[in-house]
Amino acid sequence: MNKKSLSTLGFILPSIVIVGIFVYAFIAWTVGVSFTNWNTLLPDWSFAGFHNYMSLFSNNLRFRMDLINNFTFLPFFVLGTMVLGFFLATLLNTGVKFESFFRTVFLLPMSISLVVSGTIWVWLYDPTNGAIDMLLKAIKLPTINWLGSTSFALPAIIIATIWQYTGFTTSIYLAGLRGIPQEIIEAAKLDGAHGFRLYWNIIIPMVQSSTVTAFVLMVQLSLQMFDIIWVMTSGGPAFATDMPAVYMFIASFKQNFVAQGAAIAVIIFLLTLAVVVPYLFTAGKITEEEL
Amino acid sequence: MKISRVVTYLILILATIFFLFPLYFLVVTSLKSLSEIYSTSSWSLPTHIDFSGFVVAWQGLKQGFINSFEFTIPAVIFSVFLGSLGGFALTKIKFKGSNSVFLFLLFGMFLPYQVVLIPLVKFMASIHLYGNIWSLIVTHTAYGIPITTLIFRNFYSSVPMSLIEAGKVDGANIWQIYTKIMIPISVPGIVVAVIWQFTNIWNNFLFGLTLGSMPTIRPVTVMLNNLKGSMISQWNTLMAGALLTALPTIIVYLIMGKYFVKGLLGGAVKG
Repeated sequence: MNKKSLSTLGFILPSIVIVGIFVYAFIAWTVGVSFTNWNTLLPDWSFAGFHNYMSLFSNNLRFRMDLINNFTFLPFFVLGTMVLGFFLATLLNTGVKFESFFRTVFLLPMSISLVVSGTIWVWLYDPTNGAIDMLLKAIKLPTINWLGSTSFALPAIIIATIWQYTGFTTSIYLAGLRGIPQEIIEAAKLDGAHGFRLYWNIIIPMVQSSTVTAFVLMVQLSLQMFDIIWVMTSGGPAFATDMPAVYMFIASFKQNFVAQGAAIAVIIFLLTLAVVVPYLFTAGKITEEEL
Repeated sequence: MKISRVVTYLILILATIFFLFPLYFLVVTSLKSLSEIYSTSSWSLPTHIDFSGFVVAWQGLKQGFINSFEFTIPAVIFSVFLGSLGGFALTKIKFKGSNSVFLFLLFGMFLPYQVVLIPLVKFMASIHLYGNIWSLIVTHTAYGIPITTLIFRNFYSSVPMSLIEAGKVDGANIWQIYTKIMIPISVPGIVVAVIWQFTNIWNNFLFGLTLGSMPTIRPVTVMLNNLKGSMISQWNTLMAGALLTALPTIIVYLIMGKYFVKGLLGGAVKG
């Protein structure tokens, strides 16, 4: 080994070792445990095959609800943040005054802990004095026990998470829109593309990479949604807002079903991989070309 | 043309209201007395400014504040330093497989933490760090490396290679080039990485929940959630606590928002 590669190693090796342990070795450990009978306080490494997975999918009602909730949450959250983000970014990109004020406001929730915003939203949704029910009362609409109702708790959480993350997608789209060369838009306008057609044929295809990035990030966030649910409802009422990440935490750390918790974690991980790996490889290719 | 302008501003103002109204209730409620919360509308401004919510909240969260600073600051420093080293190696020392190494590290950015949570706790216990503030420092450093490496890789790729060559001509070794040439011009990159890491680590909940079982190391976010459990319906205290917990990151964001966005996009757009 020559001197140059040795010194390179010195710069990058600490990171490789740390990430190797905390990411890759830990994933391997979790995958391994998910195939054991360790559903007790004390470690039990005896091989269980796919038992933990099969029991999750065959007779575990809670896990079934978790998946239904997660995949109900996901399209509303992903589409909500992306459509709203694209829309707001488009408006911000029209040369409005106070643009930086608006941007700062839209992104403000992203700087706040989900524990803080969860606590605020619980107060807003409070059925006796909360701001939202007070408003409903004032305009003579029936009030709703948002977080106490099995049908309204999940929509309530979706609204809170859209509030939290829309600034993120707005920023992604704004960066994308700023990257479109002005000449292209001018040329399209000369060719008679206006309004909806300009957006549909020119602008939306031009911000495709922003769309992909926003999509991957929002899907990924949906699949591991935990903090705000834990704070607002802990998965209730009657598991109406329970999600795999919540169940994983309960199973692993409250009930000592370590192998079952590990199996849930692996399922969350595989679902995440399905969207992230294709993204990483295309993104990797793009950066390689740039270099 | 004129009408579309008006509509644009109208929508932007509506969006502003949507994003700010929870914060209005956060501030207003935190300044009310408990009796006022139950006697007046939650929409009204406080008739008397009452700090009793802050007094009670601060008693409950003070230790959490100290703890959060105690692990956030070192973890920010370590993860930013490691990210800067890695970003430098990946961009300015060409080596075989640098792209693979980058992907290897970058993957950690998308990691659902659930899949590392159980071994993380077992690992910390096995090296006798469980319950020690260092468990949180090490954890936040480790999971910060992917994003900080990415931020510095993007930052350093715009630094011209000729600067490195010039250093080499002057007889500097690679470490001297890093400390004498790269670090001084890295300040904007460092600011972006520090702000991003500070916000993320301060706001984190999941690692605090699993590793912070002892009050001596428990983060403020976990303490706020516990406060929520023990002060049920004492909304002035809870909002005061929420405001106190949010204050450090909100202040950083309002002062350095430009850099926060760069961190956000550094981890998003360039991939």
